[in-house]
Amino acid sequence: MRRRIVAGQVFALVMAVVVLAPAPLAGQSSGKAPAVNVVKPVVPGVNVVKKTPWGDPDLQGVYTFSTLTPLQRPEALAAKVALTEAELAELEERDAQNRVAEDRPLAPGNPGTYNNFWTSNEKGRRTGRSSLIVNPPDGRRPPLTPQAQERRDQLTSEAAARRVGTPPFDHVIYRSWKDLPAYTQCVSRPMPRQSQAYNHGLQILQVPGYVVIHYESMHDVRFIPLDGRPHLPDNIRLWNGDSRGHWEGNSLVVDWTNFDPRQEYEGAPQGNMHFVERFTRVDAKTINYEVTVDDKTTWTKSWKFLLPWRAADGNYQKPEDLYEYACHEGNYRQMEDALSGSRAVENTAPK
Amino acid sequence: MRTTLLVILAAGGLFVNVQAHHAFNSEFDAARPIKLTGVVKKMEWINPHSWLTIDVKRPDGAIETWEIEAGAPNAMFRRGFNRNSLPIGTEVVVNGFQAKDGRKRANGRDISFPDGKKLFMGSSGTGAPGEGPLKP
Amino acid sequence: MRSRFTGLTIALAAVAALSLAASRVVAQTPTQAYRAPRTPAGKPNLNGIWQALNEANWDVEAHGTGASPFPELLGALLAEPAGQGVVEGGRLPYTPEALAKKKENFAKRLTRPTSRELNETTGDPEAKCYMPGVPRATYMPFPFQIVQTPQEILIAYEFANAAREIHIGRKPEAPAESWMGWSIGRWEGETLVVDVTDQIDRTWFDRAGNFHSDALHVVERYTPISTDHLMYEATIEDPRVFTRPWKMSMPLYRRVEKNALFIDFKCVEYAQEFMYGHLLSK
Repeated sequence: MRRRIVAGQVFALVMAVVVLAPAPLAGQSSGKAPAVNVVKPVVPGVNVVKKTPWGDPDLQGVYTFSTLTPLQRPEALAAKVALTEAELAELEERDAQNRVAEDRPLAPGNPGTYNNFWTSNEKGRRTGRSSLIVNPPDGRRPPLTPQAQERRDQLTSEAAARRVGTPPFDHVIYRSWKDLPAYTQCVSRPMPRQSQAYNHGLQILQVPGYVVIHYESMHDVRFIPLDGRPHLPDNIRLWNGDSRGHWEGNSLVVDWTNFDPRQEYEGAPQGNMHFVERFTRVDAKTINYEVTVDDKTTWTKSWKFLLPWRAADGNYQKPEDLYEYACHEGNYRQMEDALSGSRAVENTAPK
Repeated sequence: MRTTLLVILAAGGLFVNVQAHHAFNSEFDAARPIKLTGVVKKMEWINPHSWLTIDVKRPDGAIETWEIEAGAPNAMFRRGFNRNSLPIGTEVVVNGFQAKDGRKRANGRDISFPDGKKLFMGSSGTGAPGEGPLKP
Repeated sequence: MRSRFTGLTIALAAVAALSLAASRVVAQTPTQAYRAPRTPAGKPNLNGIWQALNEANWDVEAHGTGASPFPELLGALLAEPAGQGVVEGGRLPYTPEALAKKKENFAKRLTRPTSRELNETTGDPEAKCYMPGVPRATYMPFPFQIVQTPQEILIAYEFANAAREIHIGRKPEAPAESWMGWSIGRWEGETLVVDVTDQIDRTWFDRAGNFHSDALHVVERYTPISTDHLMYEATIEDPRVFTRPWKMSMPLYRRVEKNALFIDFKCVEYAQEFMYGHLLSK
């Protein structure tokens, strides 16, 4: 029986192989491909892709990007790209037990932090892979450049110089609000967003000429024009950068530049960062969100992660499930406590 | 072998990506534990942190007003909590740590009703990124 | 039999009556029968980048020119332009106590918040880069963008990158108060009508100290009146502050330049010295 090969089918087949196949490595427990992988390929004719009334692929919906899969593969698991169905089930069982273990005693010097009561519902599912990073193949960020490493060392020693008192009851001194991360100041929270303690929800809306993403966290709204206009001039730097989108088949591809150099992403300043995002709907409830991260002043190579955005979460079903996150408006007490606390410590604790 | 791998991955899930607004160790002093019994005066379900104001009766009869910092409310709204969920006048017991500058603020590590039933539960955790090395 | 004279009198009387009625119609109510292009869902298309072009953010009531708060530092920069006001009927109908509070607000509008109590009770929230609430967000001197989909209309405001979603076709309940309120919308012919409730009481209507309580209820109306203009009306009801409801109205103008783009005005960094400068290391 003859088969007519269509270019799209070949492409999809190649994509499926690329996405599903674990890297050829020793140490995998069986020779079989994993039975389950939440990271789903696009297969024309099988994944039904809706279109908006004006003909753009329809990515709209309310999603969460929460996950318990780490960004980087733990070094001990270098060989293990994907989990089998049985491993995934057991891991999620352990995750559930971790959420329940609430009364963990605090180590001396630790006043505690966010606890499971406030976050447990949103910690999300595992993707079925051992890391979100898909490139490099070891699932870890590439090495830092020498200048980036030097900067990091400088910051570490500078921060150490601002510690007073005797561990574990020592204190970091904040000379001003600038000694706190931009997010703690409620100035801005880094993009691209990665899974964190809470507030993983967002909504994608589409109108002719734009894709719009409304993030619950920081009530950020990204406007992604699709009309091919150029980026803003280089001297306009924004906390959320500047986005330009176009369609490649059923995928939205976004070029993201013009970041404020004062913002940090993955421990590095964002001024030279260039992201390329790819959004692809793989089923009614899942968008594959891939981000290529390029900054040769920070990492020796570009790297890429894949984080599915899921509509299948009871926390985020409808647009009204996104609640206002008025960060700065409620932040007075925290800023007062941090700065006033530092003043009190400075006055009493000799270094 | 498989179990070890899963233990490693599961452990990673505890500490990974805890990028919350901040960790409490920027404000509160781990060397100043407090335990307060008080009556709810106000519950502010606000971002980035909820605040619970309680009136505490001191042994000498004086009333002190304390502000207790808790977590972010949006996840709570999705679980059915709302502005009426902690009524004024409710008696609560708070275990936490006092503000470094000595003012009457604390983090609500552990908040329960007088009968011991937990309201919000506390746990150990890590510092927010950029705030120093991870604590064990 | 009716004489011609009587007929003429009747006609003149009718014309006079119509003229009187027309003059009682307050200036800004849209009377044109403009029919806006439709979205695919069949509703008037409000998509676009819009901006108010008036002096309402200085003072929603009629006001003359005035000095900036710090003329010795700024000269004529940021001095206040005159405005005819956007309030129908002219003056805001405050209760006597509320009017006294408004005057106190104005006198203390740039008091630096050196404590939490002071921060929560005193000062223009605009200076702190707090989200402006509704309706002030509409007439801040910054653009905003309307993103219109059938069940949800998102309005993003450049100032403080404030945002709100207007829910269409359903009435979910607000779990708590918020700075930009809780918005339920519906269509009435050519007009989007939005009911805004549950606003926190810490926003102002302008820089003049005009304010509200948490009983505030706002009903907005957005009506296209040409391809590049909307007519915006907002009815304000707050029985704790005003003796009766009152209404404001103003045109909104489309930003028509090529490549008009929404650009965040994330201003928290500009408010920090004002708010926390008293806590710096010496």
